[in-house]
Amino acid sequence: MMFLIRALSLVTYRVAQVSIVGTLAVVTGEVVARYIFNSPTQSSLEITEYFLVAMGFLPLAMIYQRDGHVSVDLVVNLLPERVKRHCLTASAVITAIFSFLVFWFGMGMTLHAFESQTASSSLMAFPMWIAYLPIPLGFLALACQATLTIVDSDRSDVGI
Amino acid sequence: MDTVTMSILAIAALFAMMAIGVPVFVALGVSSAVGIFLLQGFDALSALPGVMYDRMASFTLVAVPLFILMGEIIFVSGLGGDIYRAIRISLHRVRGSLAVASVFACAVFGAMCGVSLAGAATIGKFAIPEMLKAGYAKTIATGVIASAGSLALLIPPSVGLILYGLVAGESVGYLFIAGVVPGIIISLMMMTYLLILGYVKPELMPAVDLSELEAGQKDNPWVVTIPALLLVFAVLGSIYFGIATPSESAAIGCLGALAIAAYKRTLNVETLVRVISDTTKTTGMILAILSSALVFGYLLTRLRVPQDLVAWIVEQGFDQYMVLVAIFLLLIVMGMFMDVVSVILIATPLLLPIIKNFNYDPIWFGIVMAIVTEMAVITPPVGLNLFVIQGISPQTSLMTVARGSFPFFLILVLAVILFTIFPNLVLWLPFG
Repeated sequence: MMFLIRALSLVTYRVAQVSIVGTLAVVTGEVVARYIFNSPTQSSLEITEYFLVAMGFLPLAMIYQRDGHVSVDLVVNLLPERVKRHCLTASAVITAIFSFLVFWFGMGMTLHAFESQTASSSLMAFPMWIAYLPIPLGFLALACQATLTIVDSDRSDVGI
Repeated sequence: MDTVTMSILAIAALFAMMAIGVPVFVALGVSSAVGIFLLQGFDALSALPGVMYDRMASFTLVAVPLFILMGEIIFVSGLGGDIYRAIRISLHRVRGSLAVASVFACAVFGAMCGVSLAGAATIGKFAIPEMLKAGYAKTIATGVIASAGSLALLIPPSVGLILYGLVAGESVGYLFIAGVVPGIIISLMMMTYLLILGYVKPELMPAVDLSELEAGQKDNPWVVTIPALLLVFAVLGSIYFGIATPSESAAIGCLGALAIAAYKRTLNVETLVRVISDTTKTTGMILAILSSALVFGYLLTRLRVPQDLVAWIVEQGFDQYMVLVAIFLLLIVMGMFMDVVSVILIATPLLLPIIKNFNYDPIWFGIVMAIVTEMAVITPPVGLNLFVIQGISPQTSLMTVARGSFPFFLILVLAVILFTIFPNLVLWLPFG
């Protein structure tokens, strides 16, 4: 189970990395097409927006695993070690519940787009379920990662 | 439950969660979810992913990861050291030359990189050991880098200005152009202070011996900086002359930075992988806060919090300068406990309607807010630049860096007063 969670975090993170390289390639291609060949593309703007959504949501779990999300630790650091541990567990519980909530509703939105075959209104007619997918996927990975943190802190509390 | 109680509950929940260490983006998301639930019931929570998607899928935002990528490439390219060395050689006859050169180098670096930490870390890595070796006071050596590093928040391309532009619905291009003159003025104010200090208290900044440099280095110190200056011109020039959008100029900047790093032979596969990984991490962290902040903004609008706040201020008949001072103090206090991105994203939807009500220009406010967030990164207890400098110079205490930064904090206060009295200093370049 732990392996699956770590694998999900890593795969989503790698896709986000590819999205950054993809964004650079697409925007550069657009600059070249527009300013050098004077023939702007129709789709680059739209593609980069999909990449952006992937960059924003897919790396959530890996950043959480690496303790990279911004948080205010000033108050927590002033607390006794035991209370501090409880705060960190509470933080992980809140993160897991919120992530699961967004995953749940995000999955609903994605499935609805899939079933109704919703496509973007542009010439590309891009299937919107693919565009929405990074949201439930990213938050599912984060919910799992936060749950792992809760389990880990629980184990350390009972000395496992 | 009335909307005022709901608003208070949502904001109280936000701060309570942040206090126990919940990641800022989760705290923003949960308080938004609580507010939406109280306002419209459980089913309305289905709006969460929809709002996140709709507001995030924006071409303007594409500039954020690309400028971060550009900054990461510049960071590993070694250009920062080249710029610093060139300036310090040119200024070596001036008392306090190393400190003045540090401000100059941080300003130039800020014009290539959108986040303050990179500037402080890159220039600090070369400048702090050199200043300490030359006998500079620790407070000066560390304070100057922490403070001048924060100029990247104001000097375009600033990631903070892109985020403000997105939340405020203002042109990022105009914000970038508006940041140029204030960035130059504040750099000059910092340098002037250091020059005066160098003559009044020479013992704090002794003269520098350049005898260890090779003759070639002394003759043409600026040659190595030509690529950097070309890059700054390509990025800012393309936006200013309307040739490219900020996102396109960011892509041009990335390619330029890659070319420079390749030419300087500082780029290999391992470095490139690290650069992309760091960019993914920073981008994900910023976009996560942004997506939740946009949902929070959506809730505030549904609860009519900004409108009610404006109506209350008008009803009380407060003087506009009093309100401005209160806003600045609020931003400084928020910045003492939160990171810059969170301050901008949480405060903008709340404060901008008040600013507009007093007929201040939103572009002007974006710039002034950027200056106030500069103060935030050099103010304890959560001044990020202070921690970066302490990381570079572990033998220096955090309080020493903070004490060294304090005069620059006052310079920034002076700058805010100056730009409030003369808003055209900010607005003439984009609108003149």
